[in-house]
Amino acid sequence: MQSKIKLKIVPINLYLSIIFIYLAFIFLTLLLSFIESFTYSGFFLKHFHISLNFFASASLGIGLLVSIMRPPNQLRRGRWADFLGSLLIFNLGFLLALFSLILAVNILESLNYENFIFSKIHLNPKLIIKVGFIELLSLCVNSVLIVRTEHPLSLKVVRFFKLLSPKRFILKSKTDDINVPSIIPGLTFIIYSIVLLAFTITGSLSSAYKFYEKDKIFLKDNELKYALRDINIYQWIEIFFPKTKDFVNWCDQQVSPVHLVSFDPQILWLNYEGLSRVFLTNCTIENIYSENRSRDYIGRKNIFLVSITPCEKGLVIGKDELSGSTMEYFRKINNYYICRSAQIVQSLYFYESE
Amino acid sequence: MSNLFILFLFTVCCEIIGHRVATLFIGKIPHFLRGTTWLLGLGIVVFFYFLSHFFFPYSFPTIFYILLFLVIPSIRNYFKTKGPNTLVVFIKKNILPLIVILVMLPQVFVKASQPPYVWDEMAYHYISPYSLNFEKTWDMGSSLTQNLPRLLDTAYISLFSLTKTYSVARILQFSIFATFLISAHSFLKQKFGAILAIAYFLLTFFYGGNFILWSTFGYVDVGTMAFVMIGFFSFLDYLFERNMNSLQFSFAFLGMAVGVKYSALTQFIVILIISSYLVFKNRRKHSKILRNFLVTGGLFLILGGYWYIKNLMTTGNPIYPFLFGCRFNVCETLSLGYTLPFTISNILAIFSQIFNKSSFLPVMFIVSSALILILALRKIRLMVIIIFLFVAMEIILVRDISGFEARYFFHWQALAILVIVAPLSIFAKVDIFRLIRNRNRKRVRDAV
Repeated sequence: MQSKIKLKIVPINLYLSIIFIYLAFIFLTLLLSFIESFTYSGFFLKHFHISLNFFASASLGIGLLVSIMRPPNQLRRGRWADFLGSLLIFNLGFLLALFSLILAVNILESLNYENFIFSKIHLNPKLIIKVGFIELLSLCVNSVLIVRTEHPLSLKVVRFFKLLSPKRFILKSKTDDINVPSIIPGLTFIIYSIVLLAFTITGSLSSAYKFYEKDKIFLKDNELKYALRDINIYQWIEIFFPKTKDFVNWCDQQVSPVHLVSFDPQILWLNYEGLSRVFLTNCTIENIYSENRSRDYIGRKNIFLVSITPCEKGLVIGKDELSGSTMEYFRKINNYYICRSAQIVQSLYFYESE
Repeated sequence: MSNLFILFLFTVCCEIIGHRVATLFIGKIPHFLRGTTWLLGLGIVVFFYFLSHFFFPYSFPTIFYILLFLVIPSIRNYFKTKGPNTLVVFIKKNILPLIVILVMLPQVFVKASQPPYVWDEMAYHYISPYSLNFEKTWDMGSSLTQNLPRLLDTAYISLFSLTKTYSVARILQFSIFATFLISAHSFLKQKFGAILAIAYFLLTFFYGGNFILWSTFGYVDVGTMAFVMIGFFSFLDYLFERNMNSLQFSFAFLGMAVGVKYSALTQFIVILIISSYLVFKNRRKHSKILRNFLVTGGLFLILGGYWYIKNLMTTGNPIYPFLFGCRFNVCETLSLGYTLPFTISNILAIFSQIFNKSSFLPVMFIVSSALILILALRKIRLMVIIIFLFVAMEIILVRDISGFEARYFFHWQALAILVIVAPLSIFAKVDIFRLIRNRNRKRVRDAV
């Protein structure tokens, strides 16, 4: 078993590229969420197809990534460290300002009425809280980055976390003159694993519970009745196939096989009722799947026809007038035959001849 | 109960037949595949049932005679090679996932007891009682549904002919799904630790409820996914251990996948390309490459490839109606316009569908990918890289034929979960808590 978790030092160009991407994402997330707090949630998604959730998730993900990367040695001091220091001070100031704003608007809203703040300054107090959380994420990532440098602020950040954290999760910086490799990798894995395992267990339990809830996607009322034999297959067909149940039952009573034909697009492709053919015991509906195939049956006499579309008197046309799309073609053919047929039971007809 | 008993006997027969085929043609069965040999038996049984329907109607209990014909010569060898003992050992080592599956069985049985009610299963996957009673032989027309690969559909029909109900067919697909999960658990437990294995099992089993629900439908997508993933894990075993047997099993299961559904072809081609490169690169370490290739090819054909030979003979196009036309006057066309094209603008929509519109899992996926790629854990990093390569190659192959439809890419969901749980492999390598404890003790000692 290995005794150490090894982190590779990232090449400087790659490191700076990832940092740049992170900064771009966090800036855009802050900007979008800030603008949305002056409009409404989902504004950018509706008008520009830009998902704020995606940007927030990407900022979180890339932020975690930059937190655990080992920076190259050249970036532990100099202009990069100074930039991080300035950014930290800006983030701190911005967060404090945001926090004050969030507190103020929400208190004012609660003291007056709903939408009070929005009516005055067009700002949604609930949505500005989101901006606060994003800024907090930015500050946390910034703090982790500066701890890995030799900037004077890194010592202050470490001392601040000492006040908050139990001793075993202390972040150490090189300026403390203690040669302790950072336990960030181990800590990151622990946090990641706890979050994932908690999600797995709670998600599994809630999914398992949902499976046993009636009238949800997994368990409908009629399905449970059928499983418990409270209804039989005939009652099932009656419930789910009101238009074709009669001809299914008619087929069940036949003593010899019967071939049925259907030109009705509803039966062939479109309507759930057409799928009742899977229950047929002594009948089969011929597999007419194209115009070419249908021509094998046009002109025949003494055929049983299945159609849930009734005769439309106004649509009666001559056989030579078939044109239009496949659906239109079948609709016309079906109507031609149904209007000249005798009904046996609902949805079942018999065509003798012209 | 009698139907369940029939299914149980059917499964036992498939297990005996599959075990014989595996030991005879391939050799030692890798530990994690011990529970999957019944699937190989299922493939063999369906092949013979397919051949028999050229001569015997469905109404004749052909499946009964096929099972007898195949089981009787295999029983002696099954007990001689201690088949039951190894199976019991496998079950004992994977008891936790089995218990979880048992908890969900009541709901699975309710769903499985339904008559045909979902669209495609009523349209063509299941046959009517009329077809069962009166269809004499295969109807080789020119329509799409008459020329699809139908391994699982044929298995459904064989069970329908015995029990006169489709409930056993539904339980069959659920069993295939459960077999894949337990096999995956066994593989991951040995390679990367118990924590990763159980997390993968739980997330895949309960993932939005989709897989459990779809495994009780008369569709074949979950079955396809299961075969593809078993093939993928077998391929990974070859990648890590250079075990040629594992590669042969991989192509056996991929053969079954392509016999179930056309969409598995791209997964098969990708694995074929990558494994061809690896075998060529390591050719000096492998013996009897030609023999293994012929055996694997033969198994691939018998377990699923025969559907394509049948198509070639009847339509002139092994993948009718795609790409190569047909020898009929009019070839049927199929529009896949309902799928989401693989374009940059659709990336987010596709990503969202892979993660069942969850906002949490995509974040974990990105973080996990980053953690794995940065850390020096060779095997797990190699696995994640192979997964990304696999998906990228599949997109290149399929983008001009089909877009994205969630159920055609169920295996992407399964692979995404594998990436998400990958960092948990650290628990098998490093005792993190001891590491932190030791560092704190060192700090205190130094301070004193």
